[in-house]
Amino acid sequence: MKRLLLCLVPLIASAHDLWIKKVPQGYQLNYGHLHITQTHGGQKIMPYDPETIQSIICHKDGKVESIENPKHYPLVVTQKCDELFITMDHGYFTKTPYGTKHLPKNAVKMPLKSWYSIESVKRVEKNSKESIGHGLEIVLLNNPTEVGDKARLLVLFDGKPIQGVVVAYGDKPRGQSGADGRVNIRIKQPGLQNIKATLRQPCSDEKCDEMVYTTTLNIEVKE
Amino acid sequence: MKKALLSMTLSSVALFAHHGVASLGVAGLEGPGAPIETTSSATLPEGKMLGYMKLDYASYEKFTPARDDETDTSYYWMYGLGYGFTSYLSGYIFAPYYTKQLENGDETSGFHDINLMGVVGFKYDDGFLLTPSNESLDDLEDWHFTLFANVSLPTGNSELTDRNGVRYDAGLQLGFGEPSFMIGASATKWFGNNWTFTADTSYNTFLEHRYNDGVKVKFADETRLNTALSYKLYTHAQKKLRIDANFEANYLHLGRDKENGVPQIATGGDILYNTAGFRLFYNNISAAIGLKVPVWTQLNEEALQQGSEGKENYRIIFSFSTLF
Repeated sequence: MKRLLLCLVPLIASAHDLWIKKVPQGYQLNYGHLHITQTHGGQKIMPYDPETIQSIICHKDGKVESIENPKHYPLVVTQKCDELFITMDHGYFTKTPYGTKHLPKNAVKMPLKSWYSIESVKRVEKNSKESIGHGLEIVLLNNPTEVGDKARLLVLFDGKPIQGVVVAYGDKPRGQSGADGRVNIRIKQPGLQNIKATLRQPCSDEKCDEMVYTTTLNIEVKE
Repeated sequence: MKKALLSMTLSSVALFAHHGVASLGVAGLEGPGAPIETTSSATLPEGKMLGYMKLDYASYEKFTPARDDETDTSYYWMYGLGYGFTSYLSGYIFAPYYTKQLENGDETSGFHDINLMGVVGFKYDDGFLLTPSNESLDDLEDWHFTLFANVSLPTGNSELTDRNGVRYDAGLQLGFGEPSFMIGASATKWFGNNWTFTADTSYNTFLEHRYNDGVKVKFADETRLNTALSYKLYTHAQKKLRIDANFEANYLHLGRDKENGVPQIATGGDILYNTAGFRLFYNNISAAIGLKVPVWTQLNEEALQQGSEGKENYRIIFSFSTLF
């Protein structure tokens, strides 16, 4: 297990965060760096293209509702949701000797490595412990309230448990989902939690080498 | 002097414990360390096998300058194979090979009694549960425990004789002649950083054996209590290499052996050892080396117990294990 984790350390450490912040108008989707890191310093918000937002799903009182993308930066969802799940489709990326291009593998010269990136984030306000059933998703199975508690997680892909998904906390890999999709992460700092899972699968066509799914779970833990 | 030999063989019997299992050595760079003598609470991953080899070399203090029948050195080799039946149940078979040398040149050498061992792992995580198959690093910070039981089968030769046809002392034989039994428990706490604490205790008992010459011997019961601190000294991510330092306190209580029902003098006592050493993890292998010395002894008849536990100059322990 750890051998795989080690391989993923550089990938996860360099990745950006996606998080949903509570604002007076509702919930705002942010992209950048949530926490202070040695590499990036303090919190840093970076712009994103609202067109990349693929879906906005609101889970309220046991009902799942899709919200239309207003295609406005930054995205602010004004509806009240128990759980808000937002997916971004970043498309193809190909690494070449002359830099990383935002293009599929078959559209560049000398492709070295290519991937298709789909990123999602779920903010839990009131834990339903249920799946939204959409792509890669982390379901919170308990209600951690303070630092030291364990977040008991279920990692699903299209609503089904999936094994071997690397889960990181504080940009450090902490474990992998088991055959039942379960993995536990201990809360180590107060505030907004960013628990991130990454799944890599082979690409189904010649346009990329792999599909990279990343999903983040946001929960608030008291200061 | 001879009686002291009785205990000599036995002390190594309990060293079958599954310490040094490279359960995390396979993975390696994170997670709890594993001591050298103290039994860690790691179980084998389900469906995985462990190959194990250990040498415990002992050099004994001599009481007289004469070249007599004092115990000189011993080499306790251990070859083992383990299998993870489930994430919480591991089974082992051990084949010991002992060489015991006296100052006068006499020696016995060969395979000792085969041992079978079962280990059940469990942990505390909002309640006790059996060791699960998948644990995150945060799960590995929980207290982990094992219960283990061991039985030795009388496969070794317990009727070895010297060149004059006289049966060697029971302590020099290569078998107990009867089954022996051990039960024990271990606890491990990884603090989520470089430090790991491990402790174990075990109790070993023997059945009385009647030799061909009619003498009946019952080896004394043994109780052990070990504690260890492991410190992660060095890691190299690319090479998948980790080196730990270990420091241990190993307490041993030996009762009195009995011959024909009579408690024997020059047997038994209490010994505290310290063991210091290093463990290396590299890919799916783990190797450890340690120096073990008696730092406190209270033997029953100390001046007569040459060659028994507590009367070593030192012991050198080397172990190697690989998971496959």
